[in-house]
Amino acid sequence: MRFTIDAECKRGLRIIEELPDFQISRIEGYNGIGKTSALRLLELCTGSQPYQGQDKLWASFRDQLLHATVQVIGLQGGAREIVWDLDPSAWPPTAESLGELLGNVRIDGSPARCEDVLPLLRVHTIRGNETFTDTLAARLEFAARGLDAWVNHGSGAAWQRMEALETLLEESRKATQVPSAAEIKSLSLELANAEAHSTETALEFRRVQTRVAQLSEAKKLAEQLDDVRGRGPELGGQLADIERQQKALRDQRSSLDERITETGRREHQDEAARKEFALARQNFDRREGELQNSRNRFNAAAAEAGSDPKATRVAAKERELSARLDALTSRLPKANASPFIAELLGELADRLRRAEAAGLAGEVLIPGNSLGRDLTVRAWREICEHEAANRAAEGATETAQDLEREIAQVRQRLQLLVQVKDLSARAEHAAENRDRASQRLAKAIENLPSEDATTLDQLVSAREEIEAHLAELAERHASVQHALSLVGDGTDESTLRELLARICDEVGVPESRVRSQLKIEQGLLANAQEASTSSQMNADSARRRVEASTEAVGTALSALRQRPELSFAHNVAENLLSTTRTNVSAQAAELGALRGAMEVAAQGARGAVSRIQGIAEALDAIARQFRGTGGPSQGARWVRPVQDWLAGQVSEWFAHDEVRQALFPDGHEITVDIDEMAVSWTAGGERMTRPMTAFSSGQQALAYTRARIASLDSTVASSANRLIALDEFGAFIAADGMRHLSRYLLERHKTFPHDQVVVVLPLRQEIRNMPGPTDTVAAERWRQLQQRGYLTDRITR
Amino acid sequence: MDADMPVSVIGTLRAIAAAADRLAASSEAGTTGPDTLDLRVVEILALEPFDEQAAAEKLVRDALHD
Repeated sequence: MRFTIDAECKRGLRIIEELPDFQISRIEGYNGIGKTSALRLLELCTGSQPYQGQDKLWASFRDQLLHATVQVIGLQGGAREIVWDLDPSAWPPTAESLGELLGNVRIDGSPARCEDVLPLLRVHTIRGNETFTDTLAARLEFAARGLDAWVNHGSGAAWQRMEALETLLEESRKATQVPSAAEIKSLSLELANAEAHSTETALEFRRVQTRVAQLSEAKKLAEQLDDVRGRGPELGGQLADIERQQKALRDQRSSLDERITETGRREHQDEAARKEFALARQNFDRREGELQNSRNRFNAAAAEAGSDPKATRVAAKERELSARLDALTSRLPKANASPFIAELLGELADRLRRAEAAGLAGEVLIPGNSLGRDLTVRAWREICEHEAANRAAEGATETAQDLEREIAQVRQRLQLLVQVKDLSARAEHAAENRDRASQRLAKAIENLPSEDATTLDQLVSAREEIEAHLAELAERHASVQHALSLVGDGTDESTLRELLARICDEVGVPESRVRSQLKIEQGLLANAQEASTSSQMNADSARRRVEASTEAVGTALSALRQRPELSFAHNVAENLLSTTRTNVSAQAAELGALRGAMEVAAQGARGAVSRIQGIAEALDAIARQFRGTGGPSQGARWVRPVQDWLAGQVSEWFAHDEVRQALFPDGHEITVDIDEMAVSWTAGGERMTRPMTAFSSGQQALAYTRARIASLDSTVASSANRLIALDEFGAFIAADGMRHLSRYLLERHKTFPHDQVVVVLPLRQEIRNMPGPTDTVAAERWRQLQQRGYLTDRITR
Repeated sequence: MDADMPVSVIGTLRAIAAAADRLAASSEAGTTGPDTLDLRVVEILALEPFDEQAAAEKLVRDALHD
């Protein structure tokens, strides 16, 4: 690879322009020419931050670098050329990773991201201004940081993964928690025992129960026998007496039934009579009221008519008033003509008088007619005067108006009398009605029932009493009859004796001891029942426990089959989940093994993470020991393995021929004691030990370089190309030191042919002087030095 | 995983675990010897991408077979 750098810098910063395309090379130049700055710039370009922890130096570098274009060609792998166009003004003020802030990148002419460079190229600088122990400490710290980061930091840290796994495994263990196979077997055994015991106690209970039933039957038979012998005759007498009473009561009831029938009929009639009486009474009252009313009106009318209310008197009065009315009526025309006739008679008399005066007194004025004599003027005058006198006498006290008034009065009285007659007729009619009502009432009264008659209710009550008595007697009759039937259970004495003897024989108890034995065995029965119940409960309880454990196994298996979070366990326990397995105990055993494995797995995960932490702590502790800032107090259990590992590493570095020859001439069996910071080896048959710090600076530098490069070598190259720069190695100026280093690098190149290595050295004194003209190589070096301030050499041996 | 386990780290762990095993096997170990680091478990925890179910299955299978 050939690196070219075109940098625009402020005064004070210089950067060399080229790193040649040599596999292993050496750059020598004046101090301040920009060798280290170039390497640091290349480190930045390949994703590292060489100023980490050196903010001031970084700020200075960033401020003084205005712009830079970096090109690398001759790459192996997937690209031929990478070009960076860097704009330091965009870089952060503190020394941190630049990421995409680095600048523009083109890979084979195409724009790319800064991180795209990493698989193609890495630049590693190993600085020689550190001691060997610093290198060892850094090696330990690097490993500790790597472990710590992996265990503790970030969203996918091992600790986090371990805890997630622990949770998953714990939940899974809970979901598959079932009694152990031994427990299930024990429960099954317990159930079998409990069921056997339950069966035994149940059988014993039934046996005792049968005996108690037989003894009870025997006792009953004995009692029946006693009954048959003692109570039979007495009960027969009672029954006959009751039947006699029943007959008497039934007779009474028949008689009452007849009376009730008759009384019912009669009471029906009485009821009708009472109703008629009420109606007649009402009618009578109404008619009586009407009569009184008519009479009152009649009497009032008679009084108004001025008549005696008697009928005869009323008729006489009517006749009298009729006559009077006729008289008055006849007088009325005359009364009406009297004044005119009187005046006429007067005037006739005057004229006649004057005719007499004229001598015509005797003159016949009106010859005689059929009615009488001839009337002369005198006679006629005299008749007129007489008639006038009569009329005057009559008409002087009576006028036509008086007559009319009187006629009206008479007529009114006659009308009142007519009314009186009408009212009289009505009163008579009302009296007739009242009389008829009175007669009806009297008849109804006659038909009313007598007060002391027996009511139907009384008869019915009496019958009910008889019925109640009969019912009581029937009950007593049934009771006595039942008692009679119970006497010997309807069985005769000899049969009862035979039955009793047979049962006593069966139970092996004499008749005389039946009652006492029954009591004893009833006690036994209670005990047997209690024992049977208790053992049944025990068996039920054991069965429930077995069922619960079976159900638990079923639930766990179901969870394994169905719950997605248990799919890992499902995969592991495929055999267990096969349907051919039905033995719960075997399933529980497998589930137990599965849970055990889950626990072991969880413990293993936690243990691994804890141990890695312990290893990281041990690495840190030993690093502190190297740096003189402490001892291995933490991670003590891992200090020895870490020391052992590191000693092995260092021994391996030292075992390299070139290093071994430089540090331990003719030495072998090199061992390192990290705790003592010493190296032992055998040379010339003698075992030698030297503290690491006792080696020369050149030896230490070689050992350190070997250690650092070994660190890089232990990492499988993650980039297709790698530039390893050894900077600040003034110790290698010495020819002997450089020779060992060159040999080592050349030897290493055989193993890592794609690594390009450049050793950066201060300018040797002999090169500072202009060479003679015959030394063409030195002349070329001189020319480069004069032209660029540094020179490059390929290391070939 | 943010803190991806570098190959060098697993290499270091392997070497240290081997050293621990050697020490445990030697008479020096005594009762205070280091624990054994199960690298198989470490590798399972370091799987990328990490799948909890797959990791759990591997761990449990290993535990069952041990």
